[in-house]
Amino acid sequence: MVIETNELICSGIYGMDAGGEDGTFTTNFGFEIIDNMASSKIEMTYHGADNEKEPLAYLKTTLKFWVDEAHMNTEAVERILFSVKYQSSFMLFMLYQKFSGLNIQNYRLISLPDEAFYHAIGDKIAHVTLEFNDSGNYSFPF
Amino acid sequence: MEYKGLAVQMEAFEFTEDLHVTNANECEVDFDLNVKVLNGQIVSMMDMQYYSIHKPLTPLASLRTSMKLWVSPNIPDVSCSERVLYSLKMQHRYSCFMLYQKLKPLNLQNFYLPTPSDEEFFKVVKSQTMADLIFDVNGKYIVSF
Repeated sequence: MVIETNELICSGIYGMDAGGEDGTFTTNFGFEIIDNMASSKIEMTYHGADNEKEPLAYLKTTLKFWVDEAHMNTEAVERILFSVKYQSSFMLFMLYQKFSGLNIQNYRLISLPDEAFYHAIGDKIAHVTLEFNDSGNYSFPF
Repeated sequence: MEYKGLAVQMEAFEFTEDLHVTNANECEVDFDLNVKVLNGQIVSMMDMQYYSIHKPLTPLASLRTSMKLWVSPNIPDVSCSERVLYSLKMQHRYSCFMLYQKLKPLNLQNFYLPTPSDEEFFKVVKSQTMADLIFDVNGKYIVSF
């Protein structure tokens, strides 16, 4: 049984040295929990301004991990938040290495703030209140 | 570059920094990283201990993680060095997170878990045949996520 499904789409236009034109970077995040298994799906797409139909880079990952739906406390939500953050971080790194191989420079890959992930995870999990700083990031002490 | 038989790289460093908690008891965290490169496979083992300086023989929390990753045959390229560095950093972050959650039930507050610089991580894993990376004056790699 799906207890939560939300999607978050974040788009932006960033300078990119691919023919001297701007590119568009899009992150799409979907999350659900079914029978104590969390499934986090993230898609990242980078389009050159001169070709909106064929992305220069596209990446999709799905991360699955166990959660205890009956004990969704602060620690459990922190584990979910930490997991999706580093799923995103890993994808940004892979995109960076794709671009390095294409000799593309001056691009920007923007990570979503922790708070955006937290809200996208869903209302049933977000009943556990986490505090974020002004930049929308959670205060992990490391 | 070729790896032949035995380990071509094995170094370790210790990273210790004083920490403070709200109850004014002084605590420390010890961090040991040991890396082996063997036949194109890197094995990274991290030990972290968090303890009160008054009870150095009884850690409040202790953690060991081991990570194995394959490196490509054309290891002397920058991309491969970046992947190794990124993997070590993520292993460390994950270890810190687990340690943080272990410590939370102890009601320790205002603690922090120090992170070695990117350059320190790379010094440990760097073999003679691995491509160099450039770090800034703070030891941070020019690209970070």
